[in-house]
Amino acid sequence: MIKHHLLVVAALISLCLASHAEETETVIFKDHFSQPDSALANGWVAKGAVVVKNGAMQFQAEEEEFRPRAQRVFHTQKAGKVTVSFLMDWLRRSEGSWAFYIQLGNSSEMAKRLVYQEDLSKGVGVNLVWGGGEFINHQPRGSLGYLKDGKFEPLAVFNDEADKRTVVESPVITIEANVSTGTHTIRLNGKTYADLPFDHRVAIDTIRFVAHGCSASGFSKSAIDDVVVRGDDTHSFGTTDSEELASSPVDVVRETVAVPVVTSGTTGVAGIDNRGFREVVKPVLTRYCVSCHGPEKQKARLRYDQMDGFRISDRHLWTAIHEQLSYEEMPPEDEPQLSASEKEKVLAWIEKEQRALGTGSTRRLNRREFGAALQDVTGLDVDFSYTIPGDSKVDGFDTGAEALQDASDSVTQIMEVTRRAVEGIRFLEPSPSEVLKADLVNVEKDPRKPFDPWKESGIKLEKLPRIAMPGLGAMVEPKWPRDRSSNLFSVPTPPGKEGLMRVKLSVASYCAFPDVPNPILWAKIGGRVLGRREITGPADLEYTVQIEDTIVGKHGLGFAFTPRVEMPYSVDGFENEDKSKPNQLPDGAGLFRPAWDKKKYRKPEEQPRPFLVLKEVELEPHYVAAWPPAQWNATLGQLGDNFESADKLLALWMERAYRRPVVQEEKTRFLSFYEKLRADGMTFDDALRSTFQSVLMSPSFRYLESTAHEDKVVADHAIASRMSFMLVGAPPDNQLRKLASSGNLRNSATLKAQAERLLDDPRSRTSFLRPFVTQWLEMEQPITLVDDRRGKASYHFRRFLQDSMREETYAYIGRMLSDDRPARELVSSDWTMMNNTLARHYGYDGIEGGHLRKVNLRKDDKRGGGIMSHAGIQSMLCWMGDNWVIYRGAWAARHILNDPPQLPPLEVPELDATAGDNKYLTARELMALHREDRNCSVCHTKLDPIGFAFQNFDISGRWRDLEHEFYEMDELDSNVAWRGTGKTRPVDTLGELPGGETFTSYDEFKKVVVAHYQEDMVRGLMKNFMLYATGRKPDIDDMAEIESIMHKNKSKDYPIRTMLLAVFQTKAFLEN
Amino acid sequence: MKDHFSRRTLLRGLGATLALPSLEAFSSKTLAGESKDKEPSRFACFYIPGAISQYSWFPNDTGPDYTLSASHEPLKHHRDNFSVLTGLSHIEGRISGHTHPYSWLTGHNINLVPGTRTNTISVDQVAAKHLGPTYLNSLVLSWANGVGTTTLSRNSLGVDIPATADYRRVFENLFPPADRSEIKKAQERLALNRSILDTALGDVNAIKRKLGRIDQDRLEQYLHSVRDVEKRLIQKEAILKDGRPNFDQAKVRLEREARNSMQEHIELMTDLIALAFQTDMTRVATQCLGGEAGPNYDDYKDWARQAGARLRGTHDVHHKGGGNRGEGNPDVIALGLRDKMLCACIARFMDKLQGIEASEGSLLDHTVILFGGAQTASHVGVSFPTIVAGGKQLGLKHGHHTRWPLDKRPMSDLYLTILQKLGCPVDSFKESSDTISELLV
Repeated sequence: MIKHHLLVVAALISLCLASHAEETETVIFKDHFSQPDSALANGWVAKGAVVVKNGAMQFQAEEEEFRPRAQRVFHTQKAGKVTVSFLMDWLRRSEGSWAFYIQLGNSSEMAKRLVYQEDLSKGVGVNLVWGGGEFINHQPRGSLGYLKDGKFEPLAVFNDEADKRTVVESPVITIEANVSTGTHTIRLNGKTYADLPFDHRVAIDTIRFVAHGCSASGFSKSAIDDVVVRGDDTHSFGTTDSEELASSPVDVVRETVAVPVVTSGTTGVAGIDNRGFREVVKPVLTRYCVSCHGPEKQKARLRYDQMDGFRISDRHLWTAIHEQLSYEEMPPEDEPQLSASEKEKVLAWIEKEQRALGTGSTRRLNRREFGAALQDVTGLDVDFSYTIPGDSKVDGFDTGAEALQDASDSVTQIMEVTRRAVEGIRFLEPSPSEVLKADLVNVEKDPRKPFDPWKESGIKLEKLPRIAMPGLGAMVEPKWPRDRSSNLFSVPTPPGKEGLMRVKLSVASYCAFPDVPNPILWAKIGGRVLGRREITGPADLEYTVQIEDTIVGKHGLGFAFTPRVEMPYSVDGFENEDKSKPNQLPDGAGLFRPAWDKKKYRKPEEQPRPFLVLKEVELEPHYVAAWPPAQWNATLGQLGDNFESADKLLALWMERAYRRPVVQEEKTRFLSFYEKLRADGMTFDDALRSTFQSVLMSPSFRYLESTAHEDKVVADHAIASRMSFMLVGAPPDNQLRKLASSGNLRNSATLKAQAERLLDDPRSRTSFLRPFVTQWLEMEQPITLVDDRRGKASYHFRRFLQDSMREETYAYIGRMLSDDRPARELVSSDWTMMNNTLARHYGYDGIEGGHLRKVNLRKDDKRGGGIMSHAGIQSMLCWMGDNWVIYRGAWAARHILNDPPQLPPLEVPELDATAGDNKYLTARELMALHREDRNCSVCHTKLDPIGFAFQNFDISGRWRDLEHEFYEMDELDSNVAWRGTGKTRPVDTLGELPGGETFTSYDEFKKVVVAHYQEDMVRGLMKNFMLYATGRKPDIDDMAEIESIMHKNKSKDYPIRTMLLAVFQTKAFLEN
Repeated sequence: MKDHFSRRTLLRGLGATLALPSLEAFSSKTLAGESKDKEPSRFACFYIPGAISQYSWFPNDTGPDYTLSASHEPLKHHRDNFSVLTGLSHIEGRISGHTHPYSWLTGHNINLVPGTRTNTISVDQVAAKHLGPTYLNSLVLSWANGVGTTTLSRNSLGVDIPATADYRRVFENLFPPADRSEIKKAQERLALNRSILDTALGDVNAIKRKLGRIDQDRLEQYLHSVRDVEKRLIQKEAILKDGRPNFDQAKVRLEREARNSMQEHIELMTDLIALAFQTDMTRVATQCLGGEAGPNYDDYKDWARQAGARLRGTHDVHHKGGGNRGEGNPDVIALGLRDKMLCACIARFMDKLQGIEASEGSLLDHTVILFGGAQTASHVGVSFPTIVAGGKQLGLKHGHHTRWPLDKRPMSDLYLTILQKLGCPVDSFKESSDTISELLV
């Protein structure tokens, strides 16, 4: 069983990560010597000619110093373990006397001058020596051993004098020193030498390398590289008073990556250790991998023979190689395996390259965010990103940094969009157009009258409401879902067909009968639906539309405000319009609404339908907003046509656009641009608008800055932006910005409080919950509603039901988040979210109104709670065709079991359920046929048996206990008729999960998932949270943080709000 | 002119729907044809979404005397102007599923690392780099506005170039304004845009130096794109001086008449490409002819009805019609009707180009048309259905069906051949090993 194997691996991974996390072993010092050739830095102190050359620490020949050496002090380790590893590229000598000491000791006791032989042992714990001749007691040259009480104890001979071949070219040596027990273990070239005694029992705070017998013919090519010292956090006691340490950054990695290595600015080879690739990695790849991943064969579509170093574009490939090697998945068991040292070397090289690269946290704003940022800075409620194409995605998410790229064509597009944005605002200029108002409350008879003066502005009055209710307003008749809307009026556009129009409405709803659904107001301007909302009471609405994004008609821009009834309903005393189903409300989409005699009941108070009440309409045909918006309460003082005003406005604009404080030097170039434009004859407003546009085109607006930025102010504001864009889909508000400015944002309690606050912000529903859940669960797929016959009338109320079906899943996960429910409720619970139409669809009574609320499910409801029980989810997995067992199985594997299927192999024949004899096969027989094909069986042995769990759901997601022998389908204009014919039989729900657990019903399936796959599910969710928050797929370090969050929350059954909030506390979120 | 009319008469044989609404709007010569300058080369690529109906696409026999296949029937009168190539595919760059638009023109294995998509430059953009500069670098058209599988073109960094489906926007971007005062305003705007971008970038290199390599790389990509825009603005400013070529704008059709017709959409777009090529506003165009899984054009319903097939969504039509379910299967027949319609659209485009006189021969003789797809059936990309047409003056030899054994000849060889014949100084493209001699005179 493939899955068994995978499970073991998964367990191994989590074990490793968990133990890693628990031991709190941290890197206390590391150096890859990646700086340009120079003297040693980063805290190293050298005596004699020890320098950095070719990316390594080199010991050079010198007359003056007989024992060139380098040492580095770090936190004192008084107990526990210190682990040191380094790469040694040593030129062996086959004659003479020579020795190379690798020492861990205590700086206060170690000898400062190495004059006598015994000086080499003073204050030294681990005292490893590699050498030959008289220096080490006449041992064979190439001997490795350790010193104990001044005596050399040989361990092994490497690169001996007899064998001139180099046995170990550049071995990674690992020393694990246990300060508590005074013993150490050495790992080298695949061998382990355990439990060796210390030379002296000391607390360890220093690593020292000493070359003895260094001469021109000897060590000229010898080098040390990649020194990593790990220690046990709990046993370190602050820093020593060493000056070197205090003045050097502990984490030297960041410094080394600052060296500009990217030359072409593209994805070329830019590794920091290309020599390591050539000499260490490439030979290993060639020996073990290329036979399957090379010119002949490309298993898994990979080939390694053409790799020439660490390309940025290949970094995930290297991560995959790292994982495969670490968990011994590759090479396959029956193939030659890498030696331990080869493996260690390759892994070390990958880690070194990956760390030098950094994870990268600068990312372009995606389409949604770019639009929100423009709205924020202009203060205009206009969807500026309307014409920008959608973004590419990483694992389905539009926040993936790698997919958010710019091409010159997209730059051209945003150039246009930013121009429109700045042309929507003004500073000193007066408003270019008048404001037209129509008061409809105080009208006795004809509500069209107040609009008459509008004609003078060229506005064409069209279908205005005719019914007045004095004191209340004009009554607008509701329409049914498929009725066409009609314009109230049309407004001529300015000559260039550019600019903004704004309309404000005061509305309410009115109905004389109870239990009638509220009207849903559709605002359609210039052919675009700008808003759709249920009118439950008095409301003030405002819409601003950009003319360029609309269809301009003969009379200009048409304005239509149409109330619609989108729900089937009945009212006592009136019969149903569809007389074929007179008594019972349908389960959703059917035609059901009261009929009444239009001639008899002429007044609104006699009609069983809801009206929209229009109280006031206000129109600004050419709208340019005064900036800054009044609600900002910006204190700029008196503005005038002078430099000071421009300077103040620019500062305000830049801080808003950059989402952080701006320093004077950043402002300077924009100010000179402004002055140049003024000198060229532009007006104050025009020059400032162009300057503002230039600010919007700079990378600091277009890109989210790095949370690892070396300027702490920038980095802290980057965190504020990251959090705010994620949770409310917009730039940070004042509170967040203040906290970022105060430097307190990284404080754990502050982070939590802010994340909670944003998560509770109403914007979070539309800007976090919706996009996240949509992308996580692939909810953009269409929902199919079926009937047994295809006819227009049957689908009348389809849209509201389809929307509600989708809404159930959003609302359910939203509720889980707000109530901090345990993760298992994603698959199994006793509640769901319903509104009136869903209640009807699911057969529940007594739920009125279009909003969704929590409903406890009946005990006998076989579908039960959990997202897989949602009709919308089960239906959307059927649109691709007949093989929904596969689609549903694959979806559950991907999103519930965190076990995504591989890409379909090349050249897979389509499984055709309707072809020839297949028509007479049951789904199970069909799937069996499918798995006979070897190409298919790889994945479908796993996927298909999962898919059977959902066979009780028909293609509309309705529950069924019986299934028919055949089904016939007829489809036109997305009206789908679906009829079962032939005999019926109980639905076949016998299936199996990847781990081999079987189930016989949907209910059993859910129980197995909760019992055996809960952790997988949670891990999958956390990976998605992490990717969504950080913009990148979690790497090995991030996964360790996920495991640690899971570990902490396991006993609490993984409450999902707590788990989400924990993401904001991770290093992955804060530091990368 | 005589030639021009005879071709229109010919067209009538294809059905009444294929009127030529805008051809009369222009002179029947290219810009170079008017001035007798050396005629530049053009390149147009058209991608067939999803699968093709293999029974009616692939001709049974090969060589110059091959029998035309049923789907290619509408191209009959151009027999000497196109070749059918069978058996080409991306070999190392082979992928599966509905992501083929990503790699059709690039040959890159975009799935090298699961979950992440990488890509490299597409062949049309290599051509654009060498054939320009023109007022527009290239036209990137599709069935919807967007990136990803909507577009066929990728820039030199492998980044998607957004495609557009909006006729008006294409038209407005394609030409300088009509009158002089507008041109002056446009020039001022271009100059202003350049200084806006220039100021925007400012000392960004200094910022960049402070960042990690990946972050640097991302910003570099933005800089690269902005610099590219600046460069194009300069080129555009220069071309703008010549103003708009003379034609009757009122006769250009920019609105659709049918509600949801695939054929009408393609025709409106290819008309714009022909216009752009004729007026030399651009020399390279790509058009993704439809989506892998939608839109559900009304045409699909017509084909289903004609073939007696079940009504299906576009995705299902491609899946069910593309397999080896037998020649007589209604779904297979329906998809074959779609293929035939697409061939008719290409034939119509070729008619148009042939009706336009170039400085030597017709515009068709200076245009290489690449028309094809990447799947013969769902998830099967072993033999790309491919037609190469036009370009006789560039040294292409047509009128044959050539077949190679599967998995032997990379599509990149064809791309290299086309690039060289267009006059691009390149000696390789992706996995190319050689040019295709069968296509060369």
